[in-house]
Amino acid sequence: MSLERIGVLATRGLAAVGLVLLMTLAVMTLADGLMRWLANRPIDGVRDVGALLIAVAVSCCLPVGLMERSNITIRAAQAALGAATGRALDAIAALLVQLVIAAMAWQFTVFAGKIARAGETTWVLKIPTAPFWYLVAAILWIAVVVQAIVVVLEARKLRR
Amino acid sequence: MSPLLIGALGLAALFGLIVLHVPIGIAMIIVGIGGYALQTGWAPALTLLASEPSGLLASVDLATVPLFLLMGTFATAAGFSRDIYSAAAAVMGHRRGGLGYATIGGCATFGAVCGSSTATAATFAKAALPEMLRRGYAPSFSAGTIAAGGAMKSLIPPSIVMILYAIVAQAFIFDLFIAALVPAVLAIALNLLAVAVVVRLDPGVAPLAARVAMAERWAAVRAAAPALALLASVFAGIYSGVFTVNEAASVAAVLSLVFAFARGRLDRASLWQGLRDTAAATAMIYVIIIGASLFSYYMTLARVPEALMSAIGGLDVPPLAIIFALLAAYLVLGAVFDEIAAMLITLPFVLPVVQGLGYDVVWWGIINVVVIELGMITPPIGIIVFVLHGLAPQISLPAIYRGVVPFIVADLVLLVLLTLFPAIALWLPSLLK
Repeated sequence: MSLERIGVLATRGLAAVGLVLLMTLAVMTLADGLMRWLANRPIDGVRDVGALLIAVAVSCCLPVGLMERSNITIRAAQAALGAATGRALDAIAALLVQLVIAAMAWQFTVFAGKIARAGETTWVLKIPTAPFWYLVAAILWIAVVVQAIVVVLEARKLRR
Repeated sequence: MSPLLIGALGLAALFGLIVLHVPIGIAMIIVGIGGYALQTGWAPALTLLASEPSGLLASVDLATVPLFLLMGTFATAAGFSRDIYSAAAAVMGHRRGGLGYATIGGCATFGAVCGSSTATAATFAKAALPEMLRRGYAPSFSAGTIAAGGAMKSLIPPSIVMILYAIVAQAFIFDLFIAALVPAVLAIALNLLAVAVVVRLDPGVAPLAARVAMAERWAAVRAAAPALALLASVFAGIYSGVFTVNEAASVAAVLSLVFAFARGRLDRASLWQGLRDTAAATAMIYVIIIGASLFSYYMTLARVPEALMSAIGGLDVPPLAIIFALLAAYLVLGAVFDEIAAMLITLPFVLPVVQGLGYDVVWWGIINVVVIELGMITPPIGIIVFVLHGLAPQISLPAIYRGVVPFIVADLVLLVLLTLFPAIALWLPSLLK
């Protein structure tokens, strides 16, 4: 299996997990809203952990965006400077994206550590929040690996 | 260094990176963090890479974006666009330009259960274009109508563009959804008028067709009933006040999935493709919002908005002239740039200027949406025109651009009306307060 195929399948699988999590949260939010409206009894915890679950769910979608190059990019220079220059710029840009994602993953790891040391919990259910942020950091490290694949793929195009 | 110079250098660096093929969201992150670091040091700047994105990743408001995108994916996979279009075509198809009216009406209806303009246009390209071409409608007119109908979706709640604006401008999403109602009705009316004018001036673009029998009309309307019920549920969820916007988005996503399953016609290929697109679009939107937020941090720290406001305050020109100058700048910027990115990049310093001139943040949001709507169909980067051309390569890009000209005129009329009479957008929100 090619490097690209592995990256695509892995990131799509992770994104599917994120979307399923988001839909699960939507069902819980709907149930919470209905319970509040019909019985004036909201479900404890939906709002409490909802935001943290959203952070994890959305993070799961970030690697697929990198792998499928869905971020908005203006390629006006390619038209003016030629395809070879365009490919070189794509490779350099991919490397810059790699640096930014790696810096974010590093900072999220530090951020989660700070939250863990502070012993932060959710308001109602008193669930520790640090594990959620460690999970987000872990997903961002996966994104770093994914972007490394993108960098390799862009670099390979330079040989053409 | 003066704030205006810092702002100018930041913008120059941003455009430099964008020209070098760096994705816009990532370019904004680089310039935002770099600019912040130059003013405060690298350690505090780097911490922003987690503290700011964490708030956005966990934002309940911003999570409405993927939920509304999921709603559109399920509605598309269930074939609701075809049902809506078939019903509209059965009722109006016999009139001259009837399928054009049906397309505009269908896009407006489907747009209310789909979060994205490009998805609405792409869906109708599959549902409406073959039928229009089969009945002898001119390809240019057909594609132009679908492009305009898709672009119009930006103004029809629930709109992703409005949500993004509300997040960055720190306005209430609900206020924007309410404010958009009257302009949306006006946009639909003006687009229908554009169809009427085109078929009056050039009847050949839309041949007459036989009237559909009443029984068939009813059958088509009945087939569209689930889609219309979903539409009613989404609107009731948003506007009844029973649910918050986030809950309404959850209701919309869950109901659309339930309706799609109940319809028993879920197109699996379309569903998987839609889910992949939703995930990729979610990633793209979050990256650009994180970038806009960090870029805004840098601009605010450098006091660029205040400096710009005082510079503009010193000019001896009426506020309306400045607003029209900003609109002209956006239209030019939109010609070479992605419009949503343009809005997010410029909002940190344009919004304080607009508010300083005495205009309402919600009104400016609606104006921005109309500008973005226009940008989606105007050359050289009309994203919806590109999507349509991709789906119907037999219709050339110039032909599609020719077809959208009447609708660009309609959008410009709408833009001028909204600019001259802000009450069109602000009347309903003020009434409800």
